[in-house]
Amino acid sequence: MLKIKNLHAEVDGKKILNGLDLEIDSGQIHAIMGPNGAGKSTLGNVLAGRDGFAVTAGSVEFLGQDLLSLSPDQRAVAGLFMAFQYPVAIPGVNNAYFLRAALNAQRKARAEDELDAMGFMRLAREQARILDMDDKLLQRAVNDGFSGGEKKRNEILQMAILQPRLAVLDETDSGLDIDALRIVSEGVNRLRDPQRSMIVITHYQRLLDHIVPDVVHVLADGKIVASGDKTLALKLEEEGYAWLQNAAEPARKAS
Amino acid sequence: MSARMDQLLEKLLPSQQPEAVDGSVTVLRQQAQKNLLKFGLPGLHDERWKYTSLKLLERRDYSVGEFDDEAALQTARTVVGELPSAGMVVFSNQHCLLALAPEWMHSLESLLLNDDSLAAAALQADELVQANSADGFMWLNLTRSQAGLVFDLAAGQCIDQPVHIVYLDQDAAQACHWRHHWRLGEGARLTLVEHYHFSGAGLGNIYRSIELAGASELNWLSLQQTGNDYALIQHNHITQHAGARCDQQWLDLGARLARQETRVNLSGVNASFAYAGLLLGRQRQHHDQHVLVNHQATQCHSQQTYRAVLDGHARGVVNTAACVLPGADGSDVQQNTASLLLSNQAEMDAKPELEIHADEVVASHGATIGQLDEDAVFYLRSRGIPEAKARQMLVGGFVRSIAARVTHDELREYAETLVNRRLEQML
Repeated sequence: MLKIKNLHAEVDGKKILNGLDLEIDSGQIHAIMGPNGAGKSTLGNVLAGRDGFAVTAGSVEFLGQDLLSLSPDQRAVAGLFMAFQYPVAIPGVNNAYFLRAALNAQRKARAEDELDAMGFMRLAREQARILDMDDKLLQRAVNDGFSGGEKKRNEILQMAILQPRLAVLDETDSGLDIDALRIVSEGVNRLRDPQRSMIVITHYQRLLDHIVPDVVHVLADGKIVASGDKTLALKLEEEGYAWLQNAAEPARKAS
Repeated sequence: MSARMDQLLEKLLPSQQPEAVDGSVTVLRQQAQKNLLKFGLPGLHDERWKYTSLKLLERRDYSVGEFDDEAALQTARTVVGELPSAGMVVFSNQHCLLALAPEWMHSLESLLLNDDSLAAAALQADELVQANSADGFMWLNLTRSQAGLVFDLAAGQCIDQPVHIVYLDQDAAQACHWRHHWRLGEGARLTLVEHYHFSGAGLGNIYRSIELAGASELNWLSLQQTGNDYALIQHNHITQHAGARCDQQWLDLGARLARQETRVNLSGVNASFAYAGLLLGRQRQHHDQHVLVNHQATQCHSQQTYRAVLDGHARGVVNTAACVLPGADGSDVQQNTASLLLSNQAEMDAKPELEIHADEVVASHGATIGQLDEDAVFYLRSRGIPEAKARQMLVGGFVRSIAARVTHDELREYAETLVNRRLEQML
């Protein structure tokens, strides 16, 4: 589904990603961990196509397409979804209106019929119910005055409505208390599907107790320095990242 | 007065004065003309006019043309369309057409010919002279205005469906001076919608004096969407007595130059004035709004909220001013102006002013000028929304609070549609 090869990227002329390789198959969940400044969030931003993140070398293939040649909205249409670490508040724009515009923009680009307001509300309320979320969130301005937990839940609700093929969850656990973490994780787990892959970017092993990954990668200095199964996350939790600093072992390719 | 200004005055002063039976009206007109010639038209050296140049008007010639009344009524019907209506007043050039208006509304022209006390009241300018706030356009209006809408809504009368006022012109560039005198009796309630649909390169000079008696309520929506060549200059003078409410939404969407100056006297206890202004400018449009509220009695509220979105070389000016006079305790004054600049050439001047001479007052003012949040643009795009649509949604969200103030459901939806359509053209 996703093939990242030798990816190099810079922010403000500073090299952040230095030859990152990553391959993800359909239905897999890959966790990406690593110390501060390793390039975790940069990877998410490069995938989503944010301005200011310049790719200097390498390639990203997503469902057979050259992802890097697409605009951010085209990437979403192609099936990519980014759950942001800090979702932006947009005063004055109704959440339901925003979500319907997003869904219909994607459907239109895929030459599918657009949903009318009623059809959309039925879908949105149903998804909110499945995710155990208050559908009042739909009637408020996008993320405006939302608590940290509500913002993250709103991200998951968007994911449930947009039904992406690949979701990148960028530190979705940051700023969540234990209950909110559980609710958000359950939402993510409900969206697990053989046709859907996820990249879970996180600092802490805690999240991976709830969203159990197929593969765990450690990112350091802009490339993947170690990969393994979920026990790698436990080892990191116990021993920290220091033992990897001098690790000479080459990055193992995830299967 | 400069020679250039003289020329402009000559263009704007037709040789003949409107007819009047009442001798005192003639005297008023002559006095106004004397003042006009003495003080001239305002210029950039006048504090309240320093943002608005009249050069544009000097370059133009103004013709006198006739507009077929039937055609005007027909056009006005199209403008109002399917909106709910309790009547319609149409201004076409120098005529006020009342064929579709409620019977309690009158034309200034016919009142003048009948020597009516209302007409004399409409032409009084004492307040202006006392406040020392008159400028050349008010004198010009007083000396030359012929058409106008005059009414005194009886105490207790409530008109909840909107009365529409439609301003029209022909393509020819004309200078028109309209003068309104509106009064709401005790406890009366009225919803007014003004539609500006000028198309030519003319000049409209409107003066309104408005008196709201105790506990009366005026809901007033201005939809200024004239063609991009028109120049519109307006002065409003509002007096509100105890418990009177004025709830006003002013949408400046069109015109080459639109300037309005509103003075409000909250003269009775617990009077309330709420103003929401929207400026959407592009190309070389110039929108200039000055709203000055005098809190003269205790427990009065005034609220001014503005949103401005400027693109191209557009210029916006918002001057919010409030003066709380000695003894006007319990006053509540709020001013808020937020502006978005979409181009490097667009320019916004926000000038909040508070002058407080009483002790127990709650007052706040805030003015921000910024650009579209690129993180928010990216957020919407990351969900599949194309860039142009994303920008449009964000600007729409930014200005939404203004049209949302309209309490009448169908009018609000209509105003929102107009704003969205304008944004689609802009972005």
